[in-house]
Amino acid sequence: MSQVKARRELITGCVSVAHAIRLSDVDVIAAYPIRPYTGVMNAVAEMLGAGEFDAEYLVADSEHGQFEIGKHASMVGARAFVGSSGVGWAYAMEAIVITATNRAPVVALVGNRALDDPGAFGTEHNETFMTRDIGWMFSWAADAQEAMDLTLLSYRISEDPRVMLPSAVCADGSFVTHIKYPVDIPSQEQVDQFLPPYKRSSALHPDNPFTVAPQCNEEYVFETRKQIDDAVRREHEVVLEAHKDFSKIFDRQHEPFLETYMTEDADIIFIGIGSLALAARASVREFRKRGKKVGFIRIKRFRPFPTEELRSLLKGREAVGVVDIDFSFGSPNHGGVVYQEIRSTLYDEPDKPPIVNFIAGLGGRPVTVATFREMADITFKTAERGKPERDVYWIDVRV
Amino acid sequence: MAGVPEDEFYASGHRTCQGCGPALACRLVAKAAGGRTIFLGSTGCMYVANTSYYSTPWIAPWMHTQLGAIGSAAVGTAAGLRALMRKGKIPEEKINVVGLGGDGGAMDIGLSSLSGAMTHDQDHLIVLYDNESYANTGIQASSLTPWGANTTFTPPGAIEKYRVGNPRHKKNAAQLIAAGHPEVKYVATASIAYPQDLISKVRTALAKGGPTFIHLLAPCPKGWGFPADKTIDIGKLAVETGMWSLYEIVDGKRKESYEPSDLKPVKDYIRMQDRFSHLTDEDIEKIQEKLTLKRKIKVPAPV
Amino acid sequence: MEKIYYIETNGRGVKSDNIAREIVDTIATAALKDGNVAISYMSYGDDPVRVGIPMKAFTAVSSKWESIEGEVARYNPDRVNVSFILDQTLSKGVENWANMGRRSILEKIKLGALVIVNTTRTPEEYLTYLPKTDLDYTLVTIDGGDIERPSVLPLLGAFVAESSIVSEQALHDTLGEKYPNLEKFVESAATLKKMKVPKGAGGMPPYGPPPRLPGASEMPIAVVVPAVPEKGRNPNYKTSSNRTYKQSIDLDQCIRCKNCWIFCPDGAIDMRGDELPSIDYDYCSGCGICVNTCPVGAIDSQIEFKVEVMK
Repeated sequence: MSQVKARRELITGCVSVAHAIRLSDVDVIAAYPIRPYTGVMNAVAEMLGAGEFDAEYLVADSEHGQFEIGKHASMVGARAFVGSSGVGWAYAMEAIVITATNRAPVVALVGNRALDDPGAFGTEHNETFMTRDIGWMFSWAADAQEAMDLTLLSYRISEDPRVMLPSAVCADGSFVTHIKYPVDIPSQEQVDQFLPPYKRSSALHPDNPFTVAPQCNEEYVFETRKQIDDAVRREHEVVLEAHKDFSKIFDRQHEPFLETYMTEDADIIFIGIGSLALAARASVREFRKRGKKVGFIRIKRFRPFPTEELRSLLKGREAVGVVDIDFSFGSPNHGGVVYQEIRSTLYDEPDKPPIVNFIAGLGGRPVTVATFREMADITFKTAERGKPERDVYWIDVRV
Repeated sequence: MAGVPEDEFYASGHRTCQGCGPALACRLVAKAAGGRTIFLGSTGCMYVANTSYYSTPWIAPWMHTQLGAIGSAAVGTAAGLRALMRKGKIPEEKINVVGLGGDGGAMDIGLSSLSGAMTHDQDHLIVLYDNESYANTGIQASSLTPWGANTTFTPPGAIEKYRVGNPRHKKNAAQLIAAGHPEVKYVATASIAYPQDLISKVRTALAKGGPTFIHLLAPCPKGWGFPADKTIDIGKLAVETGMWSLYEIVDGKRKESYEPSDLKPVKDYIRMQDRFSHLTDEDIEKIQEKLTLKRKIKVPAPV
Repeated sequence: MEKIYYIETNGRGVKSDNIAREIVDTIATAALKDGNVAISYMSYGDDPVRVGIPMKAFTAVSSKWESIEGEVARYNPDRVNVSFILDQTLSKGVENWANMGRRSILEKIKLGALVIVNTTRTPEEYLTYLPKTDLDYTLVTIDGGDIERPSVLPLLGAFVAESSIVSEQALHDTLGEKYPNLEKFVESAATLKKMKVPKGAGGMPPYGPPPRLPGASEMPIAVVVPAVPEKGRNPNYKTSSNRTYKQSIDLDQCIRCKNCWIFCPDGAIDMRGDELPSIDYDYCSGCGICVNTCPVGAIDSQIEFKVEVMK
């Protein structure tokens, strides 16, 4: 076990996740290089080499192999870590799907990256969204500190016997993965208070033989899906408990599902995911100086989706601007993924605000205070009109 | 039957064809490995047929893995056990890890995973049960299907271009693994028609730790087109004609397990299988020539 | 004719699944020639077919598309008007998937159904192998020319002689596209044998209801099923219904070489220590490998119509 004490360091999101892996006493790590998540595996390899913790570390043949290694290690009761970005996450997709249906509580880092083609390393959220339906939990870090905290929380929540489902911590490429940021790294003692060991009741072992995943047909599959639905519905409570314990020990992560910034009296609300939160907060302060009552909600946990929390926060507002760092070609109104989910959340709400969607930041184009000014003008007009002039705006793209 | 243990770890009660070669392969490998084993099986007949539906014939622990993942499944399982034992989270003891993959899964879609598995110093054995096709999906050609075989993707056609059926030649899995992977501790070929040899090879492999690899010929009545009661006869004929060789490779040296003194003509083997019924005598002569030449330079069969 | 007529064919994988499908496809095609509508399919869960394992194929025929429409997206009809039995040894029942137990070959027939069996035996004799049912039905036997791979011509000839779901002309024309000589189709009307089976008749005991399947809250998570106990056999799937032929060992001739034991892919032979071999017929699939690997020819095969104990 690591003897390193609590301390503050200037480190990237990737390195901070590596610290979380070290502190979680992960047993098996499977690595495969792809930008921008690779930094976590580099850091872990160095920590292992320096004897800071002990694990089996395997360089896999591909992302598919990598995620299969992690899944199977988890099935014998080993705590496992994997990760990828962009098309690498897509390449692993078969293994990703089955990690959930096998109920393997693996934790992965998604270093969010635009999907090819063309190749590009910048942030986009689509690779994560491609796997949003299958039973993984997804949380999204705004900064390097949160990347570490969410990783620790993920092991705790995933391995809870009421859940037993995998988690991914999403970290925006470059903005969270590569920028060095002041991070409080906890001590082993603190983490040990928070994270119990991984105990799998159906761990593969000759002392307790069984078969995992026989071939099934329409007579059985539906029931296994119901089991996962039941488990996912239990996640909300488990998340609340875990964050309560975490925030007691570390005095961080008090808000489990959403970051709410100046939303109490806001007429206008912006919603977004990930590192755009930093520019969003700065923009909110600027708009308030101009006399506009603006607030910002960051969706921290995308699955399970915080439906009730969002519905009660958004009702009655004068306008809501949903910022999507993703696309969903051909969807209703040609809007982004978060837009669709927010509209669905508000469908039953009699007092629902007008919603306008902004497709921004694709391919890693930074979403800055200037971007928010442009989105704000449109959203303020939407509030005045009572409905958007157009449903979806592509912001800051050259036409 | 000296050297053949009595206990079963792959029991009766599986939805496999009458005369299924791969089922016998699982039975013999499981006997050899014993109950202190975790078995992995990639998608294929030895997954779907064995466990249809929501059932299992396995006495030992067994888990399904993806078609192209047999190597990764074995490595992940072995690494997980090793980490847990080293850290004192489970008791230290020898637990075998045996992956059973078909020819399509292990050598086509799963070649990357298999090759990767052969590069890590982890303890596992991968047994490639070769029924020379993607059988579970209804008999399609894999890269281990022999030249001239009729499969649903390579049916013999009336026009010359498609006359022979499968136009590709069988890859040599054992040689590929042995020649290209310095970490591998043991490579062998085997046949279900020679059970004592197979069992001995499985035990040798498991005693060496890993990674290890056995390429096991498992004739398939449905895919090859012979009556279900002839599985063992065909398996023996494969070796007696030289179409399949039995050997081990340890420390870079090849050791023959059984060399028939007089090889039977390849025609005897080919003409017993409906999948080759469209081949002419000239085609069979070509197969014989190619085989005879390969045997001269000690590259093992098949053609 | 606005109702839907269902026809099923029962075959064994690889041996007669082609024939099973050909029969339903031919009937469906003939129905279209008659100006009716039809669909045909093989039972999806029986795919891929495996040697000897019972399988079913179906066709649904109706005069109106509106009648059939609601029935298309299904795996099996609930009940059939006509049932073909292509291998007479299917009389001993059908256990084609695990956890379903052995099911009656007559499970799907409805009241007044027509059952057509490929056999040289008379209906009266064949009835002694069939289970008692709670329905009246008509039993027809006809010689298909081969025990395992019958010709479709006599079977379809018998069908059209006893049923009016498709016209004889349409069936004749459809078959004529593939078969130059339709003699066996035409003459079967004269060669078939039939009897009306009253409910309660049948030489074998009746079958019980199908098993109850577990609910989501009863199933362990991660699709885990218990392993077979040591020294046991899989209690949820038995292979006796795969057999056309049953093997028996002449113990007086046996030299205890253990070949039959070691080469059985189903592990169905018990032989510990110095024991003589004993076949567990619940788990023997009748492949005959033991016959061929016995060095002294002590094992033989006989056609098998019934298993003594219905489990």
